[in-house]
Amino acid sequence: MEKQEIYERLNSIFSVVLKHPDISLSPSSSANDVNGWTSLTHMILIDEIESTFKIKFKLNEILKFNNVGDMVACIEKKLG
Amino acid sequence: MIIRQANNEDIDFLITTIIEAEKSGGDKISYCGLFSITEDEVRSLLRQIFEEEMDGQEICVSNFLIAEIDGKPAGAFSSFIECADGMSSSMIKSNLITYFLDRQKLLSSSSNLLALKAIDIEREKNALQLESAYVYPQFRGRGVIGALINAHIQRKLELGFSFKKAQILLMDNNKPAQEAYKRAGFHIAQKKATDDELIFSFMPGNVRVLMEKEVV
Repeated sequence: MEKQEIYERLNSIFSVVLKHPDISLSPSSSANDVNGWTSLTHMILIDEIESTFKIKFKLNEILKFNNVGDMVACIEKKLG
Repeated sequence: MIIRQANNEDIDFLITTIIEAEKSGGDKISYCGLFSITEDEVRSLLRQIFEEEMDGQEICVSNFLIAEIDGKPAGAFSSFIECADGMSSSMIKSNLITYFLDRQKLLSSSSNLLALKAIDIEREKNALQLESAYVYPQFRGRGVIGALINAHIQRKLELGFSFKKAQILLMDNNKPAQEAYKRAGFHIAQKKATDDELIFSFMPGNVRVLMEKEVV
């Protein structure tokens, strides 16, 4: 899967979960600058991402997600 | 009274401490209502998180101090430095819960999580956070909480952490705890309330309070 497609799918997941229709994530996007992305919505986001991409993150992987770029790199790696 | 560092043999006691602290003097365990899980499942979840020994949040054995009176555990309290390694404590805990909790339970909790968001108060970066305090009823009124708070502050300073503030998040309905913290020098710095009735199905109240004190 191309990186661009991963971002598009993430934009869609974040928009639905956070109830903001026009979310456009960049590699540097993080909970600090995406409106509504809190520790509580984070649980739903991770669950939706795993479900959408049919992957399961390891604990030491999600604990290293400092931003969306880290997340995308991990998804890319898992999708091979 | 003796204050000592918790170890792995204390995990059962620490799980009970967290569960009693969660009740905030009532009978609701927020984890049970929030995720629609039983008390046994909460205990299992907390045990899995404890076994990870993940610093930066409260469910970590080495972050707990235990007060003993006459050789018996009288109470316990956890502490950590907020964002010490960059990630917030709530985000670390969310990741741990997401990882260990059954997917269906997580999915069914989404509306509860969104309701809880309304009373979410952000902890101050680099401030000492005190969390999950519980004193057994027979040992109350003997200064256990104050002794544990002082020991946590002293211990973190000895470990080389630099912080100017100590903070505690709790529910507003837990007045006895608030009074104990006031006696220890804390004041209410922030309150957050919600009118969403859903909150009462899993939390002991609808108002969360942040108490803090300057550390000289």
